[in-house]
Amino acid sequence: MNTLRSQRSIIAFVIPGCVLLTLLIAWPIVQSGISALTISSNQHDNTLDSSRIFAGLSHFKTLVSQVAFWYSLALAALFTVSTTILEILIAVSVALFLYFQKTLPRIVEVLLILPMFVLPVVSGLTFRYIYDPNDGPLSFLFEALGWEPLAPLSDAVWAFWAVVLQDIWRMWPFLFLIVYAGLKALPKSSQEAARMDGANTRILITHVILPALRPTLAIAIGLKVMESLKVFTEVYVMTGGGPGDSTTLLSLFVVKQAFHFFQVGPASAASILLLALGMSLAWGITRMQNRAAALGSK
Amino acid sequence: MTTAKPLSLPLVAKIFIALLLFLQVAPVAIILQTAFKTPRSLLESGAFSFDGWTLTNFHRLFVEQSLAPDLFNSLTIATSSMLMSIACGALMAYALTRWQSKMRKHLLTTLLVSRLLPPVALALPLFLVLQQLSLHDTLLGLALAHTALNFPLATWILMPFMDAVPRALEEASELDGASRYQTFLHIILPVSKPGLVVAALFCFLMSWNDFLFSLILAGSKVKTAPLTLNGYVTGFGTEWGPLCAGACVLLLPVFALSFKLHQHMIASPTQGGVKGD
Repeated sequence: MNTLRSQRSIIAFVIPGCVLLTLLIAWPIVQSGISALTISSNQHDNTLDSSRIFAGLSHFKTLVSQVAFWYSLALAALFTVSTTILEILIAVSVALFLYFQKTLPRIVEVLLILPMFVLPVVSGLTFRYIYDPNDGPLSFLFEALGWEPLAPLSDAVWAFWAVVLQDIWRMWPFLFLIVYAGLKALPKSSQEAARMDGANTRILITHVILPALRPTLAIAIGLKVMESLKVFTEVYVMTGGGPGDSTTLLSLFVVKQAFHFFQVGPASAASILLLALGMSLAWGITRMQNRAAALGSK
Repeated sequence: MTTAKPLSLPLVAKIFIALLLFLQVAPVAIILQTAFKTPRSLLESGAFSFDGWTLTNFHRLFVEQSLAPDLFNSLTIATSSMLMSIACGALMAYALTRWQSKMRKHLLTTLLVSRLLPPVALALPLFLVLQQLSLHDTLLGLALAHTALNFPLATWILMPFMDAVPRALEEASELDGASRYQTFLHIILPVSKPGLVVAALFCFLMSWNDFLFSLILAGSKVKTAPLTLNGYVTGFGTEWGPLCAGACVLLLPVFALSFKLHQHMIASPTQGGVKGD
C-alpha cells in the first residue's frame, strides 16, 4: 500500500537532523581536515577565511616531532589501561556480590552508583577540594593522624594517579550497570546443572559465569575505552593538565595546542588523529555489539 | 527452592562492599556538608567539624558572586537544545523506522558514529565553524552544538518506541484523510510519549553537564554555570564554601531528573532496548 509518494514524504522528516549533522559535525570535520593540510598566508590568523596554501603533511610532521604529543598519547594510553582494568575488576566483583547476595537493600545499589550522576565538572572540583593541601579534608585527616601533609596534585606522579582515582570513583558504576544487566540475563539452567554436579561458588564463577559473561565484558570494556578517550573536563578542572605536562592526556593536549598556543594547524592534525582513533574504536565496538546480538538471537 | 542453602559470602567480600560504599558516598557527603558550613568552621577545622547549618554560602553565591545569570544561561541552553534534540530526534526516528531505502542504513551508522566521537576532537573544528557563522559565544551557537551532539542519542532512544506503534493505526489515520505529518503529530507522537520523556531527560542532562563546549565555544559573553563554578578556583586560595554550594545547586536537577528517568525506564514496556538491525 505504501506508495512512492508516501515514501518520498519521509525525506522531509530526516532533513532537520541531516542539516544539523552536515553543518555541525561533517562540515567542521572537513574544515579541520583543511586546516590540518594547509597553512594560512597570515601566520597569526586562525580563521579559515584567508587564502590558504596547501602544506601537505607538514602539520602532522610538526605534531609527531613534539615530545609533548607522544607524552600525551602515552598518558592517555596509561590512563585508559589502568582505569579500564581497575574499573572492570570492581564492577565485576560488585556485580557478582549483588548477584549472590540478593537480600541487600536496594538503597545500597543506588548509593554505590551515585557518583555516576555527578557532573564531570563537580566531580573534578570535589576531588580538587579533597586533595587541597590547605583546606582539603584529606590534609585535615593527615594532620589529625600526625602524618606528613600531602599535596598530591602538585606532584607529577601522584597527580596522575589522583586523576585515575577520580575516574574510577565516577565510572566503575557505569561498567557495573552493564555487567550486572548481563549477569542477570544469563540463563539459570547451566548454573543449576553445575551446582548439581557439586560445584562450589568459586568454581561456578570461574568456570560457568565468567565464560558466559565474555560478550558483555567485551562490550563494557569497549565502551569504557571509548569513554576514556573522551575524558577532558574532570582532568582539566582538577589539574589543568599539570603539574607540567604530567596529566595532559591527548584530549587536553589538543585543547592546549589550539587555545593556549594557538597552533591551529598541528591542533587540527591532532583532532583528526583523535577522530580517526575514535572512529576506529566506534567501528570495532559496533561490530562487537552486532556479533553479540547475533549470538544472543541464536 | 528453599532447600538450596543460601550462599554465604566470605567476610572479606562484605568488608570490601562496606568500604566501597563509604568511598562512593563520602565525596558527595563532603560537598553537601561543606556547602552548609560556616566559613569560620571551615577555616578552623576543615571538613570534620560542624557547628550548625548556615545558608551563608548560598547567599554569597547568589548575591555576591551572582551565579544566577549563568545558571539561567545553563537552563536556557539545556532547555532549548533539549527541545531541538527531541524535535530532530523524533522526526529522524520516525523516518528511520518507516523508510525503505539504502540511505537508511548509512544514516543509522552516521548517527551512531557521531554519538561515539570524542567531543574534544570536534571542539576546535566547531569553534572555527561557529566563528564563520558568527555564532561563537552565543546562546544559540552553544545550544545548536549541544543539539548536534545529542539528537543522535534521542533518535536511538526513540526508534524502538516509534517502531512499536502499530502500522494499522497509521493506516487507519491515513484512510481518514490525514497526511503523513498529521499522522505523525496526532498519532505517533502521543503514543510514543514515554520514549519522548526519557529522551528529553537524557538530552537535558547531557547539555546541563557539559563543560568542554561552554569553555571553547563560549565563555566570555555567554558563560554557563559549570564554567563559572570552575572560575571560583584561584591560585590564591579557593573559597570552597560557596563553590560546594554551587556544586549542590548544579547537582540538584541532575539527581531529581535521574530519579525521574529511572522511574520512566522501569515503566516503559520496551525497557529502552534498541532493536538490532
